[in-house]
Amino acid sequence: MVDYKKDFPILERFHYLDSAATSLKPIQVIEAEMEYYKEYPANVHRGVYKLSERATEMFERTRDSTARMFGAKSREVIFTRNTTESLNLLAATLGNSVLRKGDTVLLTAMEHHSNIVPWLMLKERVGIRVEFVELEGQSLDYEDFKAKVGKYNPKVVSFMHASNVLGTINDAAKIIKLAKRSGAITIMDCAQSAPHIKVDFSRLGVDYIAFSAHKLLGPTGVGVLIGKESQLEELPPFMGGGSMIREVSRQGFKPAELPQKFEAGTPNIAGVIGFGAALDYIKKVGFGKIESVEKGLLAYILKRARELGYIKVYSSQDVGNAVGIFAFNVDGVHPHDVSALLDEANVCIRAGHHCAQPLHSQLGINYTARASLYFYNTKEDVDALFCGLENVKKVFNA
Amino acid sequence: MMDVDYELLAERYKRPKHKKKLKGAFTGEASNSPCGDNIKIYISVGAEGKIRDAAHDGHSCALATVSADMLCDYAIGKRLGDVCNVDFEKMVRMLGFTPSIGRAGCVRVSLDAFHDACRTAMRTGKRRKTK
Repeated sequence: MVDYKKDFPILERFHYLDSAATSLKPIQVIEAEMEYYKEYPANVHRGVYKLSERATEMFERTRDSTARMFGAKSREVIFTRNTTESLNLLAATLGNSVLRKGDTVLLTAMEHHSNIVPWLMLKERVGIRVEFVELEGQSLDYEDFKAKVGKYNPKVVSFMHASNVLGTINDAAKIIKLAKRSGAITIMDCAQSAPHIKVDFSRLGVDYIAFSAHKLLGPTGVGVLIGKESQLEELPPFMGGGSMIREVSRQGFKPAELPQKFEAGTPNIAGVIGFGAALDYIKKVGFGKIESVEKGLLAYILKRARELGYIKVYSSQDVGNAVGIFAFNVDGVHPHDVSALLDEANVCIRAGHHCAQPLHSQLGINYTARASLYFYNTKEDVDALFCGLENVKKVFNA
Repeated sequence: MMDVDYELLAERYKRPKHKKKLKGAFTGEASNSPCGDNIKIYISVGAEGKIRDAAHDGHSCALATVSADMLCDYAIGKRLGDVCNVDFEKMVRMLGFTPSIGRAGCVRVSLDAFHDACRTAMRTGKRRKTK
């Protein structure tokens, strides 16, 4: 068994069970960022001197690694700030081009706010209709999906690949096939899937995927949007400024080629380079290993939870078809109090609605506590969680 | 300041003194957006301008609930004008510990609801006087 603690020293002191919010960063990623600032801290794509050229090479190396890992071409990989910005980029540019008043954007009842609010903003600005596919248990109701595609003939179908609350991995191939029946543009929010399972962009045939580097061992402030070259070519630019133009006059401008067309201004160079080191690390670990560790621990969590009468589980118990997320409530105790008491034992979990308020409303609750896993977690972390939960029960007499 | 005494907090959370609805009282409401908590404060003011009764309701964690309960305790029997400026520091003194940055919002949600109720009472009171 590989001991990852040497690369994630914080695990010596904390039982970190909040990787769905952000993953830990191995020292290799921190060193790569630091090396940029110490050794070649120049801007990218503009200097013809050694430092700038090295920065550009390292920056573009991450783009190439991202493309290889996700089955895309390098020019299809756009760096943004995070998943939210990637989805906002799509909503804004589609709203400025193909979407018209009365067109339907079809989402699902599971979505995170970042795949709801940009479309609701477009509803206000353009007058689009926003519809939702309902749930069946902790999964999507695929019959409802089929019915809503038929009823609304959506122009865009945007869905999360894996739920940040339920952990459910949605059947992407099935959704994309259904969406294509109405010729819809398909967008997959991979924020919670990309860190845990292999996502093959070209094989899935989806038009766009979005995810954040910081959930994949990378630094905060770096997001990715991957889009089919043909689709990206058709979209108007998102933000205007330096880097995204080919030429500018007083009268107008010509946008740059892909991918720079969507990368206005100086990017998070150190962050992108750090993300390159994160991808190297993920590749070394391998998605097979990541999945097997997480599924083993999730099964163990669910077994321990079933033994306790005071825990209500909201996340999927279908371990084979879920990422490592355990959403729950302790009877009679608010999740904030659960989280605060667990913190006394250095167990880090998240509490609240996890930016998925419509999903919580659908479940008939206001909030949940959530423990989320990554490959660096161990059985000891889970044992610490349950030891802490026993203390919560004792203090609150739940 | 002391560390958080969760057992004391839990005790008052389970048996709050003022968790109820007050019919005909002035009300104020606030939400804590990261967690979805919501608190409603009720203030009932007597003819002489003194707070006759105060109560709270809603769904919230132990810290927010206990803060609301303590605010009600603090307000009852005092003049509205004397309690409406109660601030975070005063609340911390009442609690006996400083909440961490992540939980400051749990205290503030109760304070915000309380201030909202005070504003409603002041506004409506003035309107009533001018009638």
